[in-house]
Amino acid sequence: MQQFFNSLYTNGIGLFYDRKSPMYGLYKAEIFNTAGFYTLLTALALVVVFYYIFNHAIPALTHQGLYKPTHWLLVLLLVAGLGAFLAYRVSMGQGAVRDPYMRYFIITNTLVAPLWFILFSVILKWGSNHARRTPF
Amino acid sequence: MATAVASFFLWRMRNPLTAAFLTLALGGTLLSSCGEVDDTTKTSDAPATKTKPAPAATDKTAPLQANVFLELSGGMRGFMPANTTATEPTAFQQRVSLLASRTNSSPAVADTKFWLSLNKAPQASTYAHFREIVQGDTHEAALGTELPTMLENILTLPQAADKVNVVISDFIYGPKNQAASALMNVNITDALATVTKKGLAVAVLGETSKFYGTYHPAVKTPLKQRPLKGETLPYYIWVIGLPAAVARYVNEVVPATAATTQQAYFGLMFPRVPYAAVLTQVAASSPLTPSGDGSISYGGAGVSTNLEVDDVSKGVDFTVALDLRQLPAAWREPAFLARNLQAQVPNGTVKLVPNSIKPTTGVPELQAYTHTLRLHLSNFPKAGGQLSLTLPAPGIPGWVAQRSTENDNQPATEPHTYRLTEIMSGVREAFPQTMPPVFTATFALSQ
Repeated sequence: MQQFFNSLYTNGIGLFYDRKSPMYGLYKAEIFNTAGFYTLLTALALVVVFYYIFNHAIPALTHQGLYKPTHWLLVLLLVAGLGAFLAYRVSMGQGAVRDPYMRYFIITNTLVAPLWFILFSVILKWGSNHARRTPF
Repeated sequence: MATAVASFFLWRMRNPLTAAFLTLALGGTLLSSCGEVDDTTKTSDAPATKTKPAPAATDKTAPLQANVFLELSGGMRGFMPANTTATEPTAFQQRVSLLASRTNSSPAVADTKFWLSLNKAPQASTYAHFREIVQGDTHEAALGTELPTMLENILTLPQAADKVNVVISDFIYGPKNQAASALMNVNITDALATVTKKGLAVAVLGETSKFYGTYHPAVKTPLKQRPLKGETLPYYIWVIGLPAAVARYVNEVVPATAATTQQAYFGLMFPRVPYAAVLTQVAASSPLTPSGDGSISYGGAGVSTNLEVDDVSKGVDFTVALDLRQLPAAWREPAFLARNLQAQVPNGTVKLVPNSIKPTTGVPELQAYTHTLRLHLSNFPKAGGQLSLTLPAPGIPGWVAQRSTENDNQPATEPHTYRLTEIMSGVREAFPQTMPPVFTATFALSQ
């Protein structure tokens, strides 16, 4: 998994920024893996919340009719925001310094998080009662 | 940012109940993830920036055993005149008495024996007696011993090889059998056979002092001896012993060398010089951080000697910190290091940035190190390799030739010693032809 996250983020950041931080070793050893894992879990959790809590399991919530693509898009934005937040928190928590590389890592994770969200949505939406056809 | 997104999301909710549930669900996710992030922070005991560099590996070796030999020949008396309250002691008296006193009292030296090198085997003495002699009570002075014999006698004492042998003498070698002068270097090498066999090191400190008395030059024409009144003559302090012991004695016991002290060292090796690449230890604004359009980083999370480089062809500059505290003073000089240090990458190009060797004073993050230097890496093989920073064993230093003379009969303003070059090449020849480097710092680089 670590290898996967390392190449995902190294290549992802490489799209925006062609240099590496002196902290790159730390990113590879700790940050990419931790942040990547949390981001993936967060996206999965919000997919479950959207499809199986709001639009499936709890009638009181289901009756709110929050299954429209707009609602889905808002959760996607939330996931993106959490992606940025997690990238920042994990990097700082591991002792990385604020350098351009961290900035591009945050940007990359802001994009990676919605990708996970879309992926899980496509996989899991079929099981939902009310949002089976969200967003398409 | 997350809170902003969340509140925006909540604001869109039509019903407070929905909002409450959503907050709960989101809050849970947020808290759990962040909570775990914090946990990792706490458990990761060594974040890269806060990692203290590995402490300088100065392993406390057993205290030294020292033998201090003073050549007490007629030719040495002039360095040790009996002073009155009106005269100033000679530099020899000041330095040698301080050296003896420090050797006697230093915590680094467990046991010191004082000896007088008279014309036969060294004669055991006491510190008090030794001090009296340096003070000017030189009536015991005997006929001078020939230099090789003196060295041989010193090195054949029991356990001489395990001790630090400090020899204080003018090292004037005037063979009685003048034919022997043809092979001065070989005679010296032969006298140092113990050094060769046991792998000892030799440190030579060249000093000068005023001389009041009869001077016995090696070259006996035109005058066999000359009375001198305060002319400056050279004398030498040799330290012979195991490499680690000699280095320790020179650094910890010998009083700080003056700028005029000439130094030469043979056979000193430092297998464990602490070093590190400076990548994350200093603030990004520091001139010591990596620069250039390529990049360099540690292979793992912490400070290590495994480095990863990228885009080397665009140039990578980075700083290496070294702890050279164990090295003798002359070898810690930035100018000396700049001349002698060699950086190498097989199949690659690395060079020392000119004028980049500096002491680390004023960099609190690098207190464990004494020097920093900067390397410029511009070419590196794809397959990876090792970057090594080596200080090759220096040969005979340049001052030896300047101090050497073919005729020492008339003392000059520049202190001279008869055929010092021969004597020192004799010392050099007591060591293998190719000597191992003084130290090597290596980094494993990958791309």
